Amino acid sequence: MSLQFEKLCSLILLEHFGEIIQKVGNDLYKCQSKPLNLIVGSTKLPFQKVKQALRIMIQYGFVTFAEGQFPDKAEYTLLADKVILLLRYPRYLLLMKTQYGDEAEMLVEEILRRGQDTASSVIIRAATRLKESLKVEKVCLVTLHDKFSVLVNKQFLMRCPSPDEEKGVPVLTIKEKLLYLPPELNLKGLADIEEGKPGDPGDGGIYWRVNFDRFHQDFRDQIMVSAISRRCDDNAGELLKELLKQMYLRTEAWAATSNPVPFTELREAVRKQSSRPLLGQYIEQYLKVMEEDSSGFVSKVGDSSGGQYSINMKTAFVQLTWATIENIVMERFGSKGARIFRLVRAKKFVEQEQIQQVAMIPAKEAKLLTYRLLEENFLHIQELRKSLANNVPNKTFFLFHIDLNQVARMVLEMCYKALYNAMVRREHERSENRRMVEKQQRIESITLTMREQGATAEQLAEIEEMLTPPEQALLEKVRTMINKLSEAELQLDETMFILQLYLSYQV
Amino acid sequence: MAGRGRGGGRGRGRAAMSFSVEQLGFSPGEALPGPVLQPPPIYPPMENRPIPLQTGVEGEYMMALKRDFVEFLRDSPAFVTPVATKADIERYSDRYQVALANKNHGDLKFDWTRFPSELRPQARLTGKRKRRTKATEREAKLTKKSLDIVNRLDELEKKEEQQSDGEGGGEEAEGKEEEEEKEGEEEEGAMDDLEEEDLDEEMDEGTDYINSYFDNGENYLDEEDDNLDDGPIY
Repeated sequence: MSLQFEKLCSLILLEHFGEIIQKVGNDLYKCQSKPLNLIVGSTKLPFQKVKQALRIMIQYGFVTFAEGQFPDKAEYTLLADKVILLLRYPRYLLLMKTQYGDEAEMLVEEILRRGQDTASSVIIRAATRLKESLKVEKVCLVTLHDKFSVLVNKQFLMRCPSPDEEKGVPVLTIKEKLLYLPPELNLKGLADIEEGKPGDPGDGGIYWRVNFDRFHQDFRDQIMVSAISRRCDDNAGELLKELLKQMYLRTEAWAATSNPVPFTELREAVRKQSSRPLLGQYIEQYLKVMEEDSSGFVSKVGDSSGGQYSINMKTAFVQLTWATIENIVMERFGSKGARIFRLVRAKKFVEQEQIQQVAMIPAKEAKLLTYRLLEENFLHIQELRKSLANNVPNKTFFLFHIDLNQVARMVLEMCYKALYNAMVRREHERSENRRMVEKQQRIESITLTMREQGATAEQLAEIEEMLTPPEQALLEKVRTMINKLSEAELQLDETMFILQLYLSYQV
Repeated sequence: MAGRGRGGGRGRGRAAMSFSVEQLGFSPGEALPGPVLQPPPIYPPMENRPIPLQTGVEGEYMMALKRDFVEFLRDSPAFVTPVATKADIERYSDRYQVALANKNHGDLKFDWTRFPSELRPQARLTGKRKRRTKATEREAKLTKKSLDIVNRLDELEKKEEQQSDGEGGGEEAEGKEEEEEKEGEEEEGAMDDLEEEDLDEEMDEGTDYINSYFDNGENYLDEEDDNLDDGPIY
């Protein structure tokens, strides 16, 4: 929790929910939890607006509440991590689209748009939207319902906790076994509602939300598989995928190391997939390569039943974080800087003299780079004195080393800052050129209506000329810049994801 | 003074460091760089050009999704717009902006059992406020009565005359009297309450200072409550 994080959080709230919610969010960020009256007092916003903002933030899962010091008075807490996830929503949807199809994407999007909702209304809204986008008369509600159940079974969606009894401050709880219990809908009632008739779908009071952890789990697997595919080849990636599948059968998803998977079972599973004959043939070799690889994704933990293999999630993400940071150092300080960084990493603790010698970089340049790395906190210094007396300077060693945890946190901060800057810049570009964009939109709409009315090509050309060539060039420039910035935001999020995951494994 | 003495003892410049400068790679005769007295530049020059972003269909699709999502939220009731403040002067462009601000966002549906009661729209009357409203009602009653007093005196006068006119005035008059008595009691009751409640108010009874010319501002937010309609309750 830092200043950068706070600023980013606040900006995201502003972009998505407007300035009132931004102010309330800022106020809540500053303290752990706060009752309603104090929020009104410190934000100086109208009482009614604060209430409205809190309702919406609770609805979207950004704020939780619990009974505070006084009975029947709730205290509100902001979940800033959930707010940052707003940037990742497109990735969730893309995952749904690629793995479970358009219907699943639509269902998840509808839930994300409302924060939480009942299964029936999600299905109906998704059906209406599908009808619009696919231009068909009828969308099968049963398939949508089945899709919904599949998503629940796969734990992408989960039930929201619900209040036990009527109280001033409801206590929201849910039983473990109910969490991923698919909804039982009255399909006839659902169909009635869709046709505009009153009907009862039979799921009142049961709300669903998106289980972000499950999505993150898939992202994590994707990252690992693609890392192995890049390092060895696609067959190895496929093998890791299979290993992960086996792992889920016997291990909790977020464990640091998986329980051992016997080789025989793995081979059976690979044989069933006939798509990759080479993998079936050389599975032992592939396993051997992956096991001996320095990345340490997979390790052999026993020899019984043909060998026992386990996946080291924690090590994998330590390695991925190293790779990420090395790349950042490479881009910032050039290849020589990266060489020094890697050298310090390999030697753990190393003296300046040694760096120069081993890295084979001229002394002066090596010093310059080392101190620059130190200045920007990629390297750290450890003093080692032979005697504790202050007046014997020559007996002190200065050893360079890397504290990965600290560097990862720092890089994460840099990501937050970069993200904030990109968003601010994008907003700035947009507001600077708003007039122009609006003009263009107006012209477009005029052209459209004229065309419908059957205007001649001459007239249309005349209208289009209302936008002068310099203006068009400027518009194009602005558009590419905005696109680039939003693209950068999405890709920054990928780096952030790796670093956050690394840090979460360290705890 | 003591400090200077110690500094002198250590010698000047380079020797003041707690470690030997040679370790940093400066040869003995070399001058040390001067101290940096300026903050670093806000936009430091880029040494290496960043590598271009990966572009692809997926990225474009995600961007479109993101844009849609933000646009959806902007138009949805979840986007809380601030209360429009009145500008110092009326501008021509205001007309359009007002139209924008008042764009009907519809209402969000909330399941109120899931929210603390203080956030629910119907839970606006707290104990304190209820008492306040009662008090204001009473005030209103009272002022009305003080206006009626002249009429009432007239009435009483007439009645007295009637009574003196004919003792056997009939049951009608008696009935009337009873009514009057009842009314009187009620009035007294009301007066008693008042005495208990607030003596000051009674003292002011004769004047009209009490008559809601004074606004202590407590009602300020409440008025707004009433203006802004909360969503329907489910």
